[in-house]
Amino acid sequence: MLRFRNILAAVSAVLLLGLASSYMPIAAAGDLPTEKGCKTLKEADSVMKGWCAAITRRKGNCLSCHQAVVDNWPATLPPGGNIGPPFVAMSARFPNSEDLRAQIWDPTVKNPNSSMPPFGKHKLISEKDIDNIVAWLSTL
Amino acid sequence: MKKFLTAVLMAGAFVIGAPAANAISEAEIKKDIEEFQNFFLKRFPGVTLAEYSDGVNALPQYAERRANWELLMEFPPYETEMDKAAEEWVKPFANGKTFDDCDLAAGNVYPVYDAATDDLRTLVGDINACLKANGEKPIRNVKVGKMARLIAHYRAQFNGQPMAVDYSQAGAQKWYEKGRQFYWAKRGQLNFSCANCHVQNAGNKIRGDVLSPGLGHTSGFPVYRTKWAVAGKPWGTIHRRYGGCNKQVRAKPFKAQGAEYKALELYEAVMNTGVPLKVPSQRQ
Repeated sequence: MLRFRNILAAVSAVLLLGLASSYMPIAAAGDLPTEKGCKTLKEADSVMKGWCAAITRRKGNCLSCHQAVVDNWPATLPPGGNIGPPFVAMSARFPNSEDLRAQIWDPTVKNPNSSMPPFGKHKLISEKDIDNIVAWLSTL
Repeated sequence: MKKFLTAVLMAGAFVIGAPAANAISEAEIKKDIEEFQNFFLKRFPGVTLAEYSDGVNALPQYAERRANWELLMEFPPYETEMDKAAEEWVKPFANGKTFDDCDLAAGNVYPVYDAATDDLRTLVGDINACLKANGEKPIRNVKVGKMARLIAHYRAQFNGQPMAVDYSQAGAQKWYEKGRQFYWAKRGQLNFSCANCHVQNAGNKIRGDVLSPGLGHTSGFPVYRTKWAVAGKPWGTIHRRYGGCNKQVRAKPFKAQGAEYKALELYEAVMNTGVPLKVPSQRQ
């Protein structure tokens, strides 16, 4: 019974994805959603939520300063800035995700003159958003 | 023990009292200027001091868009506005005088320290003082429109002359110190100082935009901005820009012509000593 339910969930997820992509004619199949696509995203795991929080201007707005190296970059999304280091090999650079979380929460701890805003300390985004962004970054 | 405590207390008092007691000297300011300018000259080799009056357009990182700006400058969008300013400048007041009769300093030496009032005179302030002295109503909006247009007209007559703000008086040095603090202190929810973007990250990309260098920040104002033109108010004084910058880092902007921005204007103007005036400037 449980297995059947899992299959059902997987099938409906695929159907949902198919529906979602048909609503976004510009994005190629398999591309990550753009900021607009994120708004209409119904179901998302923490990695996808993290991607959305990272690229959304009113949230992390990470692309303002960082470029991200991902395979399925949406064609219509411009690359990020170059103020901060690009998001590459994040899991190798931060083997302990708690360190990465602390860096996002308040980068001035490690470097008082950092240009990066203290996202947690200044409540720029929610703690949940930070968790999700860490989840996404850890996949890179 | 008591002796030790007194020593500690005295040391503490010295540290706290130090900034107020030992105001910054003229020699230290000269050193500041040298360090500030050399930072940019080293970071962008090949860009001369004079070229910084083109602002972000001077940077190699902006080369692609500079071509666009150069094309725009063949028929500058502010030309008709400058004609209008020239007419406004010579239009007689009720008493028959014009702005030409105003007691103004040269366009490249503002802000001017006034020892009698221990205050800074800005060109905007002097224009309004002149209107008042001649029985005219001062211009209310000191950030946009007519005020910016008038100072563009006045400053443009000094184009090519190097910025030369006088900081030799102790009072001016106090204002300078205040402005310097403002420039380097982090503020707002986003926790940015002016220097974070315009010194540390000058020439770097923030999304698709290039951050302008702090060197060359005052010599082109007032500015005629494409972004502002879209909203119908293309002109802006430097205090308008300061307010916009503060908002962008999610800090509450200070009042235009208030002490904070006057001090900041002085600091920036002093850092730009030697950069030739190029007014008005067109920016995106």
